[in-house]
Amino acid sequence: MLFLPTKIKFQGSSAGKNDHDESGMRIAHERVIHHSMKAAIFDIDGTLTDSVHLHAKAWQETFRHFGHSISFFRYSIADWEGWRPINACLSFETRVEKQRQGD
Amino acid sequence: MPVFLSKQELKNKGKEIEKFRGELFKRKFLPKVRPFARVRELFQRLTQDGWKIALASSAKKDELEAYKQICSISDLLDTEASSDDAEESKPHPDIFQAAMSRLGQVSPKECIVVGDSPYDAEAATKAGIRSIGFLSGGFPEADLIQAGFEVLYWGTSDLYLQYEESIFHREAPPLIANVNLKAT
Repeated sequence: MLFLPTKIKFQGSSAGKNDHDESGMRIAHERVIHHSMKAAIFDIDGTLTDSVHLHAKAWQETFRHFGHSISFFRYSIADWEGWRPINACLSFETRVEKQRQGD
Repeated sequence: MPVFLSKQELKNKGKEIEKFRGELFKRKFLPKVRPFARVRELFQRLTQDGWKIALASSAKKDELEAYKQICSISDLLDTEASSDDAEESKPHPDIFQAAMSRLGQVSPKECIVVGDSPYDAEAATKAGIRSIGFLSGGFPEADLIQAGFEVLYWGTSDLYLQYEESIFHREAPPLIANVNLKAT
């Protein structure tokens, strides 16, 4: 039985160009293996990173700096980032700890 | 909702405020950002199953770069869309549409959004994409379900541990093998 050396060629490569490799061996070509296209699209803050409370702190300091009222603070956050409940402005660890203490 | 500045004033002032906030965040808070557990492991598992992975965040482009480093996922990503790529923020579907167009030939039906806020679910629905939600962002369960997430997890680690039963494994992209050995 003859075993042919196999070269895996992905879509877009120049499949079929070379019938022989450097040593003169015949190459089996066009072996295309791929997945049909599917995609996972991830949000980041609060999804991949524990960072929501840090954004909240940055917003708080920003508005303190500019001297605007809390209503404006809320309005603006709603405008730019979507308003989050106060609970969401604690770090994940803090929330877990609070829950553990039955708070 | 009380508004103390006109839309135009808010827009002008908003730019200044956003600049200040962005710099403050980068300088003082970005170094404190931590990834949730098993983000990289989850992404590796998705990649094994043939999923393309995109990030879609209303963070700015440079913040997004930092997040990729923090989560150690740069090499596992296919594309990303930041606020620089979208005109409107969530719940507007802009950001997810930007991510899809960067992925190339992908239809909304072949995508799944993962997020932690009702705005993620609403934006996904508007773009025709299904979504799954995480409780790790602190939003109440009821709000997330009502917003349209079809299933909820505690977060990355929970999804990773239940991966085999998840939609990602059950509906993983089918493998297409095209073997055409040319005979001479």
